[in-house]
Amino acid sequence: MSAEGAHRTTVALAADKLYRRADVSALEFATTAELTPMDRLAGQDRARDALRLGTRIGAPGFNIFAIGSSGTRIQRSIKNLLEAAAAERPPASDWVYVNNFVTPHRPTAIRLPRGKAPVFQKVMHHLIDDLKADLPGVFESESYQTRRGTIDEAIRAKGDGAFATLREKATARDIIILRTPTGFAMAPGAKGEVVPPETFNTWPEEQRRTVEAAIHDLEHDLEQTLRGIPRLDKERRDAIRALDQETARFAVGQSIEEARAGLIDLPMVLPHLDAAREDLVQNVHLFIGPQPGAEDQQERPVAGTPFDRYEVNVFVTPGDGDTTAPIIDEAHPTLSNLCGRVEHLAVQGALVTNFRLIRAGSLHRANGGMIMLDARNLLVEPLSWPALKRALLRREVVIEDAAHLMGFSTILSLEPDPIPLDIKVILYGERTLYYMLAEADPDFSQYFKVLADFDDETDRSAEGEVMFARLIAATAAREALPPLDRDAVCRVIEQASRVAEDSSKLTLATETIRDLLVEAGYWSGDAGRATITRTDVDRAIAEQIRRASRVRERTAEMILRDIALIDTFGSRVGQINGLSVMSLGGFAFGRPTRITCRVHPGAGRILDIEREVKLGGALHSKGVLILSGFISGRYAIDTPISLMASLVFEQSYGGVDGDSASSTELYALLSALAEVPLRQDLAVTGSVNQHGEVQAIGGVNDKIEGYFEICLARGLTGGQGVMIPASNVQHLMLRDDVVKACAAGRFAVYPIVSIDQGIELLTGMKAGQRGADGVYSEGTINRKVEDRLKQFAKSRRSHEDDAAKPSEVPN
Amino acid sequence: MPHHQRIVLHLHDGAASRAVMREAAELAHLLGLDMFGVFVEDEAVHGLAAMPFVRELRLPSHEWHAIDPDRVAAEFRHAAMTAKRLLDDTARGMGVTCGFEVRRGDPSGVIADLLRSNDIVVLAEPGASSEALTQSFPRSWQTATRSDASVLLLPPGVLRRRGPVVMLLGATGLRGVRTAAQIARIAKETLVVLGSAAQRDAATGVARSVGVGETRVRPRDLAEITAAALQFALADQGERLLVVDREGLLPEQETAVLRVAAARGTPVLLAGPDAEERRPDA
Repeated sequence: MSAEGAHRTTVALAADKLYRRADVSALEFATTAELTPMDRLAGQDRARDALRLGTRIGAPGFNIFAIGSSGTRIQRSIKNLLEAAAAERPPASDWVYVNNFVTPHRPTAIRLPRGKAPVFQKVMHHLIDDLKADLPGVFESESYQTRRGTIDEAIRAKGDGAFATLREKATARDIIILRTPTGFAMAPGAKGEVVPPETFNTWPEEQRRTVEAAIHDLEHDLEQTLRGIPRLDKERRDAIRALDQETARFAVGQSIEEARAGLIDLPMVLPHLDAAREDLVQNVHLFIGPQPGAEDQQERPVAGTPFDRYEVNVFVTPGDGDTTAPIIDEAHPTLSNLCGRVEHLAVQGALVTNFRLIRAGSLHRANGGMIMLDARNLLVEPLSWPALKRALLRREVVIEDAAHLMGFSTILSLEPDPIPLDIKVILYGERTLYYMLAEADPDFSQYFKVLADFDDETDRSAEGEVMFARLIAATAAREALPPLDRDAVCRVIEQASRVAEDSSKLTLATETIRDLLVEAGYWSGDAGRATITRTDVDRAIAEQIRRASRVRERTAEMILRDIALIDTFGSRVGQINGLSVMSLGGFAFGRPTRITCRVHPGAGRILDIEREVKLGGALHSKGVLILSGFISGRYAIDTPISLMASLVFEQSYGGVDGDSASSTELYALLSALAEVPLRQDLAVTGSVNQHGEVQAIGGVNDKIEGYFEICLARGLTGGQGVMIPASNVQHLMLRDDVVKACAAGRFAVYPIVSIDQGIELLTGMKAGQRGADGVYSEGTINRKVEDRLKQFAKSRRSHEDDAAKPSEVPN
Repeated sequence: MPHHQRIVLHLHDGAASRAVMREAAELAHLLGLDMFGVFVEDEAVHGLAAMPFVRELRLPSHEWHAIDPDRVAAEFRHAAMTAKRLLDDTARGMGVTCGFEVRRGDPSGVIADLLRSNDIVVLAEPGASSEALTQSFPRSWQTATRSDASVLLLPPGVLRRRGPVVMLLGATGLRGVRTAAQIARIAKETLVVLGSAAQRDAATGVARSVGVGETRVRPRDLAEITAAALQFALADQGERLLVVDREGLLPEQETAVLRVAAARGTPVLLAGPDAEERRPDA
């Protein structure tokens, strides 16, 4: 049947339609302690299968993006499943960084079997400790000192010999060699003493010439002899270095072999051990102190001790009790938290580092296992998303410094070996993030091929209720709450339906249910009960509402004090009670709003005052425009609409959006046109289409309860009630006091299918149908409306004719 | 108590390196002495400018230059300032009082005039063979050993800064024992006494009188003072200092002792003739 012309007697909904009670009769239990718990993924079969697929496929790119209405809820829900998947994976490897003795700025990464990194570290540490104790003794030994003394003597003898020869040659010619502040010079001598200039000048010319010639001859010898010094020094250094290395090679070799025996099952570290041996031999002075005779050298600042170069940086190793592949949940995925970092120490005003200051990121810790990342947190961190993609593409983690990447820092740092990456990434977050990334990042699908879409609700079938009861049992057990009795379980199920805003659905917002259970557990304990009862659940719900109700109460108070004008009795032309929902900080409540309409002849326009002052949203404007379509289609058959109507949400100072009041506005318009008053004890919600069909809206429970509270405060008359779209009846999960009032006939909820049905209820008049003659029956609303519109058209034509007549101009 | 009052460092020719100053300052610290550095501008070098045919081979460029008196004077001043700054820094680091003086003349003569019997003069054996050209060290050595002062001879490379203090008893009795014992006590080291049984007992008594506990005195027999015997006695001692009585050694014994000490990288303190005996109760 078309909406137009429909007529029915509207009956208020029976109490059983207002609230659907839970039925867990299929489940035998007294309290939840007797129920087999259900995991957090109950009711999420699609997401569960996706996660299972994603965690089991090893091919690149099959990472998981889990989406739902709440990232946190997803994170908690999938943890168990991931733990099960981790148990199927081989244990992750340990990783260490060791010094690269050839290119120290590129530390070497070594993969070790699980748990072996600390063993390697300990062996190397003990090796160095032993060498610190042993090497000084070896180099102080008599045999070493004797050999060294022999070298010194031999080299010195060579030098001394050359210089002694020169000195004797000079002495023989009465020449004395002197040390000047910056070199050497030769002077005439006599009896081993320098001849003063004044004496020398008294010598005969011949003698002076002889001396000058001798000095001239000896200058060459002096120069050549002195030029031989560096060669001798080098010869000495080489000989001592060779001796030191030979001595060290023997002493170090013994300790290295002992270390090697301790690392026999770790062949991958043996090349490093060999490199360490060679480096120890070359740098034995680190253990025995500066070489005798060597001047103090200006030491450049270094991080740690000189012996750090032989230590092992245990980069990744499982913690005690970790027996499966790792699952890391990175809550703060900055670039460095994700990909690791190289730390620096301030030493003598300089920033210095070494391989021991390389710190693992969460990708390193999760390597071989899984990492969970909150998509929002990841995307708000600069550089993290590209870094994650690079790591997944290259299948290795490169430690990158944000300051370097952005060109903010030129501090000398390290380039550690990249670490091969074998990881499953699980991003989680709201759906919009997934859709946004899919749209904005062309590479996105390459890295996240598995979508795990978490349902927000599940069907409230008998099986669904049983499943939910077990979910409640699991939550109570996990949170160490007292068990819930059957009635309490039913109440929680019913509340889950209310949260879902649908009596045939159950919310899967497990976090919300958990909170309710925790609070119910508190009130149970407060009352001294060992079991959570329906009373406790009711109390918890009531307290949740109460805590958030300040604004709701102030709003109601404004109405009850007639500051916000809402009539709950009587009837008025062009005035109706609409219903809206306010959402503040996750708490929503309904409130009535007066909607009024004024009409007069005009150009066929319905003026939406909310839109005119930019307080109306797009959906609201759409709803108002639909009214034009309805009026034009129903009444303006052969004449253009000549209506000017203004619609307004009275005393609304915030924005208005949504089309849930469009039917309400239409009733006000029809009332204004027909000049028939509307009942003020009814409040109305519902959108309407151009055919006059009333359509479902959201927040139906809150809206009914919001109006009920006002009526209750003023005193229920029995005539008061709310008109809702019939298609919203399935969503009703009303408060107990509302249901009771309706059952007692003190309040009513009317399911409305069409505008005609609604207008009849509001006016007490027939809506009317077009007869065979094409006109509506006399005395019906539609007839009155159409007549008024015709009157407007006539009036307008008359006005336009007057305007078109030429003016009479007196001659 | 030993009567030493100051440690004298001869700073001519830039001979005193930071290492030498540190050794001297540590000894001054252990014995509670002042340090005194004297920088000698060799008069003969100043005089070279008056002989135009004399040239200077400058290091490290190994180029010949005429000698300019002003430049020589400036270089001496600069060398003296550098030596003073180094000495001050080293002394301050060890908490030792320090004096400094620049003199002009014959280096050996200046030192000979300067030294007193209660001095310890520090001589560093030249590490570079080129120093042998000038006979500077032999002259200084000769001057020092002819004086009544004690002499601290540092080898080119001091190998140990920790370890026992070894007292080598000579023929003249217990000269130097108090000094050695005091160094051992302050440095918290063992005192090793090398000598005959009778000498060792007496030396142990002296050591005890300056506060070295009996357990910290380790007597060792040394039948004769030869290089071989000394090497055997010092094997595995790891000594930081060898103290000997200069007058109590025959020349060949002194040569042997110095050779062994040089080979072991051990400083040698040669106690002068007047060391300790004038004021045994001081």
